Amino acid sequence: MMLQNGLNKIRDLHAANIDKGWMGTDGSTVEETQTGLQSGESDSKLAVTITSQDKMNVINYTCDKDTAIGNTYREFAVILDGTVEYLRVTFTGIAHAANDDIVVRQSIFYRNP
Amino acid sequence: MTEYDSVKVKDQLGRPEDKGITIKRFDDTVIPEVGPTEVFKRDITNSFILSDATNGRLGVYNGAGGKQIVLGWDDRDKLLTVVSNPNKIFHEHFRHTYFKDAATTADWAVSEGQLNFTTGEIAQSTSIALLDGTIYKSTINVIVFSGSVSNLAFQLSADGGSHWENVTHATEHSFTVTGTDLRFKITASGTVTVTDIDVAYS
Repeated sequence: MMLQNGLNKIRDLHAANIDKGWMGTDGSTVEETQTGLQSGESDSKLAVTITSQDKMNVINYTCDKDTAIGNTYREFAVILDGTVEYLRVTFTGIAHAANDDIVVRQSIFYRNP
Repeated sequence: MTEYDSVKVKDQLGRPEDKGITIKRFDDTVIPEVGPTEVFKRDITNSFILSDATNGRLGVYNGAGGKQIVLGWDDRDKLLTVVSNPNKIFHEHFRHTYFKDAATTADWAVSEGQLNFTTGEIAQSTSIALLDGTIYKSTINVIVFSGSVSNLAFQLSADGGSHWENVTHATEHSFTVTGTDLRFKITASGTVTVTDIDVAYS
């Protein structure tokens, strides 16, 4: 079994490679074979901050009121090493209008089977 | 799988060369589990901003309860808008308090990664699924570290806590009152420690 220290080391290695997040407008079902967002909005590709907690990373993404507005977002991806989209999640459409920030908090846990 | 050098192992054990020894150790597997996605909107609310059509009108009440006291973009409200979970299964590992409701009296022990109950204590969540489709059915499972699951009473709400319905552990429940805001409530009748909670919904 991987020990707590080992899980946290993997957490840190993973965190070191996470750069950005971005959003898209396609809310279709997530499939493992997909390579990323289905309809990403390039202006929303922004740096993220990561908060590490025990056996857990929390990815904090903010698309502010002046950025990539005028779209209804339904998908979010986390990007590793600048190019690889590590995960894709979908959600109910969120309209991004002027005056609104959109903030996404994505948790990733590291655990034994 | 890691296979160690059998000759070296044999040397160390003093075995003759014709005795084959292989030691195999299964590799550790670590699962990176994608947790809940929480989407917030932070809007202008009542902040005073010069030239804003609604909030920038000096001396004009905008119907917001006289709260036009904040200048600029700071101090805006951050409103949880969506919570979605991969495969519509929420996992709580007690590594944070994002989903701990203020009504909780049990020990939501993040430092230990567990939830500690004594008799009469409750653990209640905030929205664990929000606007992630209409919720008609749900199943709650807990992993008990000590004590007995029979000392826990489970309730779920699909409408943000307006209606709580009694449910049986590990048994699918069909809601009488459906909704889009799923929450759980657990009440203890003994001393119990829980390490994980899974709530599946559809």
